Amino acid sequence: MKNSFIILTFFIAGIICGLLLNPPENFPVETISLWILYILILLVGVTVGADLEAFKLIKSMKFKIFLLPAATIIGTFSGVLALSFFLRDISVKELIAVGSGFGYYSISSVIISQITGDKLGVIALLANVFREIITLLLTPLFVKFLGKFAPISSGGATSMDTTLPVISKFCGKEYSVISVFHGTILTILVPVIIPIILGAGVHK
Amino acid sequence: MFVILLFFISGILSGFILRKKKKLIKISENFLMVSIYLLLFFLGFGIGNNNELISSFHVLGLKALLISFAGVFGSIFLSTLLEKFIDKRNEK
Repeated sequence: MKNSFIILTFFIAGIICGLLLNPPENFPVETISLWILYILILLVGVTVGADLEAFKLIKSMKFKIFLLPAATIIGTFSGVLALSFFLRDISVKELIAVGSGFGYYSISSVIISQITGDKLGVIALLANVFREIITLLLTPLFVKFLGKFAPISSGGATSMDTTLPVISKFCGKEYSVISVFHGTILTILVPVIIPIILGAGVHK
Repeated sequence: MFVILLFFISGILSGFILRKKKKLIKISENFLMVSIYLLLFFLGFGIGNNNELISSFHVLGLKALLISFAGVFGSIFLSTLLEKFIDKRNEK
């Protein structure tokens, strides 16, 4: 929660500075943010590689544990695909890329704004923040009317950290392991899937 | 943009090799947060500096809300089916 607040502060500070100031001429904003993005992705990789608990879990729980992340991915794609019939002004590829943030708004929005542009980056930021908020607010209802997989799936990548407390409270502690695993898999996949989806056919 | 994947994979490998060096991992976690802050500041700056984006912010927000609901609906539908399927198999 503390991190989300700091992130929001930086984002809003950026908007305010952008409203008030013009970037100095010849200031290579794009080159700088592209390199920060590369460093960011490298560091995400470092934290993944250093924390092998997730991989030990795979060994102990066989392949069945992959079914829930798979359901989340396929389900998200199908939902977004259905929406693409109504939202005609965003391409299917871009819609799926936004959906592929799975709630991991910080990384997905910066990758998408870097590849496609700021407009889709904003949509990705908001859509994935909303996914986290929806999960935090609706988990009690999901558990009551659907079951215990629904809130984990809805949380997407956040089921390993920000939405974990509410999931573990309403689903029971025994679901926190699968919740962390599910979130870890999606977190690892976000920086992989988005460039692949947007990269196909884009010459940049 | 496959450069991104290259950086990601090299990150995982170096993280795995350096996993015992807790201090180094801690430092890279801190740098990770700083780079997220910086990039979101830049994203915000790009938005604030772009009149077209600012004036259409509410439209983008509505589209974003639709996308997240679509994604959530799809995934809870499928995961609930999965849960029922697993329960049924366990009953047998």
